[in-house]
Amino acid sequence: MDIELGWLRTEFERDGYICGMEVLLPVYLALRLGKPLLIEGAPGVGKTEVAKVLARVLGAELIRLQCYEGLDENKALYEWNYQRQLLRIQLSRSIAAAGGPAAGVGADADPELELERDLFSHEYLLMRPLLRAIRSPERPVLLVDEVDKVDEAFEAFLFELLSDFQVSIPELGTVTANHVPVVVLTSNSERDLSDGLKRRCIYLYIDFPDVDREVRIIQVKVPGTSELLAQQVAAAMRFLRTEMDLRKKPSIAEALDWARALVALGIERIGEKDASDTASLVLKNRDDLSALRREIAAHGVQRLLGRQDQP
Amino acid sequence: MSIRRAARGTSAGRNVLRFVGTLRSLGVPAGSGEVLDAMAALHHVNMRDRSQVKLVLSAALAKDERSRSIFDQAFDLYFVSAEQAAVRARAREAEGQARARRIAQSEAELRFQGQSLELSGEHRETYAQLSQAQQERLREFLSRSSGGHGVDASFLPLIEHIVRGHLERWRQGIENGPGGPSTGDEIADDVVRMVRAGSGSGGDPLLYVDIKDISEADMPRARVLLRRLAKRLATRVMRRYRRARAGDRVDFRRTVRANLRYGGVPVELRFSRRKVLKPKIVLVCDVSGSMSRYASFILQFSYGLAKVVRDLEAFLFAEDLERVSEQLRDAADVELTIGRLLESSRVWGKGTNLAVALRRLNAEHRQVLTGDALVLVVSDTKTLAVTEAAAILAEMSRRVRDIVWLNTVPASEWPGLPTVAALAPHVRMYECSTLADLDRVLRLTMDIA
Ligand SMILES: Nc1ncnc2c1ncn2[C@@H]1O[C@H](COP(=O)(O)OP(=O)(O)OP(=O)(O)O)[C@@H](O)[C@H]1O
Ligand SMILES: [Mg+2]
Repeated sequence: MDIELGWLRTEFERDGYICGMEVLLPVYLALRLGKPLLIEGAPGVGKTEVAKVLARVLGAELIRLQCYEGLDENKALYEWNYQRQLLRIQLSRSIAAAGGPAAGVGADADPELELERDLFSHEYLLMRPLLRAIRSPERPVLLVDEVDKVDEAFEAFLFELLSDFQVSIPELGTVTANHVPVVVLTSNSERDLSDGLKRRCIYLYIDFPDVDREVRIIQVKVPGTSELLAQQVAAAMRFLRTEMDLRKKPSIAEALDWARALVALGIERIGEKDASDTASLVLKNRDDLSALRREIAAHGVQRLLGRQDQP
Repeated sequence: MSIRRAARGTSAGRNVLRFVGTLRSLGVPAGSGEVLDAMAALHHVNMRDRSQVKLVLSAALAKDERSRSIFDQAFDLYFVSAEQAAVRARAREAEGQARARRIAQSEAELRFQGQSLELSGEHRETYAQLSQAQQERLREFLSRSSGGHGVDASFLPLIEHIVRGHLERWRQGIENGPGGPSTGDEIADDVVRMVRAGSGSGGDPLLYVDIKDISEADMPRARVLLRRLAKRLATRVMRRYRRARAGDRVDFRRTVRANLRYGGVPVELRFSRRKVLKPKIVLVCDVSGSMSRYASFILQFSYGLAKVVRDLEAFLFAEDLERVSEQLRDAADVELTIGRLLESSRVWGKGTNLAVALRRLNAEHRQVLTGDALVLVVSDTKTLAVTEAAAILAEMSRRVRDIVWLNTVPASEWPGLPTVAALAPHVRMYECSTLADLDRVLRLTMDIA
C-alpha cells in the first residue's frame, strides 16, 4: 500500500493513539509489504486498538473476528441458515402433500435433488467475518482478535486462508478476494502460535508505555486530567507493574479508568485515602489488592507515586 | 524472487543475509520468507537511521520473546561503527596469534617419553582451549604413563589413541557448549560468542541458570518464574481439554443433510466429536545429595499441573523409595510440604540406588504402572547397580505408556557418562538442568500425553 511513514504517524497521533516508532514502523512495514500484522503483548496495552485506529485512518471498514475457545469455520467463515432450510423443507412437503407443484421443480427433475440444490444456495448462506472480508467490495481491515484462543486446527485453517485469500465452499465453488484485506492479528500469548503463521506475519510486540508516554495517553483519553494527576497515575502504574509482584499487572485501560474516577471525584493530588478508596479500579485480583493496601499502610503513597509526590 | 537475487548488488542485502546467519546460529528460526521480508523492509526505511533499520528487521525476523532478546543483542554487536569493527578485528587477530602460540606450545607439552605425539591441528586447538586444570590432567597422564613399569616406545600408538579420544570428546563438548559450531564467518562467529557469553538467551536470565547454582538471593524470583511457567503450561493444556469437550456438538449441516428424508425434522442428530484423555503421571524423583533442589523444582512444577492431569503419583528415592502422593495431594502449600519432605528424606543418606527403588516401585506400587501411565524419572543417572536398573526400566517401558527421563546433567557431559549410555536406550532422555529446560521438557511431555 502506498502510504508514507510521516503521514501514518500524524494520523495515529490525530486519532489519539500515542505511540513511538517501535509501534509505528512494524505497522507501516506490514502495510507496505501487504503482510498480516501479528501483535502480541500483555492484556490492555493497546493491541486491539491498533486495528481500530488503522481502519479509521485508512477509511476502511473494520471487520472483526473475535476468537474464543471452540471457534470453528461455521462461526468464522460461513454457515448455512439451517432454520430457514428446515422451514423450507417443511414448506415444500406441505405443498406436495396438498397436491400442489413443488417450488421450482421441472416435470422430469428429481424433486429431492432439486430441493437440496436449492437449499444450499446463496439465499441460505450466512456470511461470517472471514467470508465478509473476502467478499468485501472495498479493502477492509480484518481484525482477528485474540487468535491464541483458537485450537491448532483452526489456526492451520486461518493460515491457509491468509495465504491465498480464497475459500472453496463445496456447494458454491471457489470464492476469491476482491481486495486482499489489511489483516491484524492479536494475541495475549496464552498459547504459542505455530511457526507457520508467525512466519507469514510482520511482528509487533507492544510493551507497557513508559511514564511520559502514559501521561500523554491519559491526557488525550481523559480530558480534564491535570498534568500533575496524570503524572501521579502514570508513576503509580510504573510502580505497580515493575516493583510489585502482582498476579495481574494493571493495563492502560485501568490507568484510564482510574484517572476518570479521580477526575470525577475532583481529586487533584492523590492522597493515601484516595489511593485506598479507588484501588479496586486499578487492581482486580483480591491478593493484589491486599498487597497494595499493605504497601500503602507501610509506606504511604511515597513509593507508589514516586518522586512526583514530593512537594 | 530468490533470496540470492534479492541480495545481489546491494551490500546492505548481503549484510542482512550474513546477519541472519548469525541469528540462526543463535537459535533464532528465521525462514526464507522472513529473510525476503527483511530485505524488502530495507527499501522502506531510511537506511542511515540505525534505529529504524533495527526496528524493521526485528519486526520481520524476531517473533517471540527469546528471539527478540537475542536479536537486540546480536544487532547491537553486529552492526557496529567502522571504529568498533576495527577494534574487534584487532582483538581477533591477537586471539589468532595467541592460539597459534598455544598450539605450538601443545607440541612441546604433549609428549610421551620425549616424543611429540601425532595429533591433528583440530585436536591441538582443542587442547589449547582446555582449562589449565584439564591440560594439567592430560600432561600428568602422559608423564605417568611415560615412566610406567615396562612401558617402552611401542606404547606410543596406544597412548596417541587415548589422547585423541579424550580430545575428541572435549572437542564435541566445546562445539555443543557456549561457543557452538563455527559458521565459517569470522564476524558472525564473534557475535555469536559474545551473545552467548552474555545473558544472551532471552527472557529472564535466571531461566538459563543451572537450578543447583541459583543463589539464595535469587530463589524468590526463581519461584515466581516457576509458578508462571507452570501456570502457562496448565492453561495451555486445560484449553485443549475444554476444547475437546466442546467438540461434542450437534453438526447442523450434517444433520440437515441426514434428515432431508424425514421432512426436515431432525430425527437423527449428527455430532462432531473429538476425544482427548487427561494423562496420568508417575513422578520418580532422585533426592540424593545435590539432587534435592532439582527434585523440589520439578515437584512444584508438576503440582502446578495437577489440575490438568488425571492422576499424579509422586515417589522420592535415594537408597530406597517412598511414596509421597498423599502428602502432596492434601498439602495446603505444596512448596512448603515439598521442603519438609525433602528435609526428612535426608536421613536416607547419600547413596543412590535406582535398582532398589524401581524394584520397590514394581513390588509395592504396581497398580500405578498402568498402560496409560507416563513415568517421569528425575535423576542425574549417577546410581549404583546401573545394569540392573537398566534391565528393570527396559521391562517397565513395555508396560507403561512411556518413560521420560529428566536428566539434570547437561547434555554436553553425557558422552562421558557410562550410566547415561546404559539407561538412555530404555527411556526418552532429556536434558533438564535449568528452568527453561524444565518448561520445554514438560511441555513436550504434555504434548505426547
Ligand atoms: N497507545 C495508546 N494510545 C491511546 N490509547 C491507548 C493506547 N494503548 C491503549 N489505549 C487504550 O487502552 C485501552 C485498552 O486497549 P486495547 O483494548 O486495545 O488493549 P488490548 O491490548 O487489545 O487488550 P486485551 O489483550 O485485553 O484485548 C483502550 O481503551 C485504548 O483506547
Ligand atoms: Mg484486545
